[in-house]
Amino acid sequence: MLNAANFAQAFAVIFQPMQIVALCAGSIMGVIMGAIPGASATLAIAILIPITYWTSTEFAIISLMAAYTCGIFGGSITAILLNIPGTPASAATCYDGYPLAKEGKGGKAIACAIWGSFFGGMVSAICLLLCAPTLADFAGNLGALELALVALFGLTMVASLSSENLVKGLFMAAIGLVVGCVGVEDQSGFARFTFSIMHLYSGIPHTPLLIGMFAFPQVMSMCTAKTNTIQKLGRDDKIALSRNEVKRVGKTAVISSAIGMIIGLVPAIGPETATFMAYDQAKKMSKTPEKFGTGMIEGVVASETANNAVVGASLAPTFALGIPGSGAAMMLMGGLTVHGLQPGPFLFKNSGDILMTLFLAMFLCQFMILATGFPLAKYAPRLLSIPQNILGPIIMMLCMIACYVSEGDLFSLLIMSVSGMISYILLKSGFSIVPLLLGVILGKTFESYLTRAMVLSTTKGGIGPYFISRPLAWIFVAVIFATLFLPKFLKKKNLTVDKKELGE
Amino acid sequence: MTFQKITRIVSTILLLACCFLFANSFSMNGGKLYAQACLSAAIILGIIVFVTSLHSSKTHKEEETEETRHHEPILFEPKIFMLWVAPLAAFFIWEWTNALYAVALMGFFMMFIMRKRPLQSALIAVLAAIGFVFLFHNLMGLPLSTPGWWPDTSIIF
Repeated sequence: MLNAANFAQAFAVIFQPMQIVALCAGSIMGVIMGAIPGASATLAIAILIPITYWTSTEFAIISLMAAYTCGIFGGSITAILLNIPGTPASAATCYDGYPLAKEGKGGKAIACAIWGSFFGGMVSAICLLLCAPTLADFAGNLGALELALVALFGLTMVASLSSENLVKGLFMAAIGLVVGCVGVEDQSGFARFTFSIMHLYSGIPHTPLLIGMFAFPQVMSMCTAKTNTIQKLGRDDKIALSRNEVKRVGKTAVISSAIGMIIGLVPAIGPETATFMAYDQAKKMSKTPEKFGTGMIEGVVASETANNAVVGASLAPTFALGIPGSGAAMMLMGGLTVHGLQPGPFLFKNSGDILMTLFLAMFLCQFMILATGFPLAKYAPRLLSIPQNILGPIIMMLCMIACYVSEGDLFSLLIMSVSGMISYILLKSGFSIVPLLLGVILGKTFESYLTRAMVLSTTKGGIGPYFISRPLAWIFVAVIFATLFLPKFLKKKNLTVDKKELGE
Repeated sequence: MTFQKITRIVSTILLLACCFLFANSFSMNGGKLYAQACLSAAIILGIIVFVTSLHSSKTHKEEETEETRHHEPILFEPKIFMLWVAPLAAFFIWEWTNALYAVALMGFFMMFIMRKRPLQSALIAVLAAIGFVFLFHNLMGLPLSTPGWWPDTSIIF
């Protein structure tokens, strides 16, 4: 478990020159990838995985974390200057950011995004530091049946919230569990669905699958993305906020970070919903709500604070329970797995020092938003003018190399290619790929806990009496059923993200 | 092709694959119960998705106008397909033959992808391919076979 010795060790590690390099490189990569329309923090992590393959674990996790955090912020630059959200999480930033840039106040809008992201990120880092160990402690005391139900809860939650249609989401989750069955079964040692292909005996490798399913469709959308006129920053347009403006947006920042933090703790709701909720709340709180959408700094602050507040909070269930709630968190989890770190309660018991480094890195990443945001924002118009058809093949090549080095054979490239093709078709036909991937990732864990629970139940007279004797399991079952009705509840309360709005 | 039609085709393919795996699961020696349970769930949910999309396409048939037909999803664009195939082919050819063919092929594909400025684009693609493979092969030990003409960089690194 985490203690003062872990903290001291992490503190000594994180300020080593190599880790500072990792922090800077990850942050720059994150901001650039976040700023490119169509690319995202997920793609930044995908590209960084092969580069960090030969580095130390600390270097890897710091750079991946920096890319994730700064990638979410990077999306705001494109939203403000180009009216296209760099990442879906920055969709609400377009509403007021672009009108501000058109008025010649682009610098002010970017300053709002930088400080908002910093504030939201700091709040989320505190949330991660406080909630993740508590969650892990709780999960560590659970039995096999409860842990199986926790995995099932994560799966149903993601299936019901990440897809527009609940049945489609559950269908994808079930397909994911089937794909997770491929390989040698742990208990019996017999192969399942391998069709005598040697490479499949150890199961379908997660890294090529993740890169194929997330990165490929993104590169493709990047190459076909529409571009608007770039609003350049004028010489007199300073990236700064006055004292009065800081006072004006203070309350909005506090409320938006609270919204983002709460949303982040629930797997699968994601930063998109948090930004729209925070934007809506800022509008309701404002004395001039009619001016929202015409260039209000409160709108930019609300959106950017909320989306960065989600980042740290969403990592709490990822690290503590091993349930990643978003694509970027899944990719981050894949990056950690490459370095032998398996997220879950055991991570806290066995690798407390590395986890503490990760938590400290989360705080430092927020300062990196300030350090990279201000200078990179000035050069953003130049960066955005690089033709996508040049960036596309280069990123594609990096993704291929990422897959190749993660497994060391060409079979991983085939996995990536096929999964990329399937993912592209699934996305085009209205299916969500997040539940599918979560099904693959959680499949083995779910099966092993379920099998263990079944074995334990034989000593208690069967699964029925065993289930009745575990009151915590009843609560989990009730929560699982409740998650199935959550989309309807959110729709009723108008809390779901309008996909059309995101596409605009 | 309408959106509902694509959904139906995709869910049918997935359903067929699940049915095939379900039939295959009977010949498994162990751990079949869990796999069969997952497959059963997938098949039931797949049927629901298929029936729902069939039903909604019937009810919305009258609403389908010329305007909506223009917004049909485009599944494949040649540019996307090329972008996909080029680096993959380059990798496989590198592994099986040598880098020269791989880079030439990649450049050839890129010429198709970026028809506006073919020479410039092909040059960028070829240089990028050489650069990346050079970097990863020499600095990070990417296990790729090195052709005879490749400069011996072991002195430098």
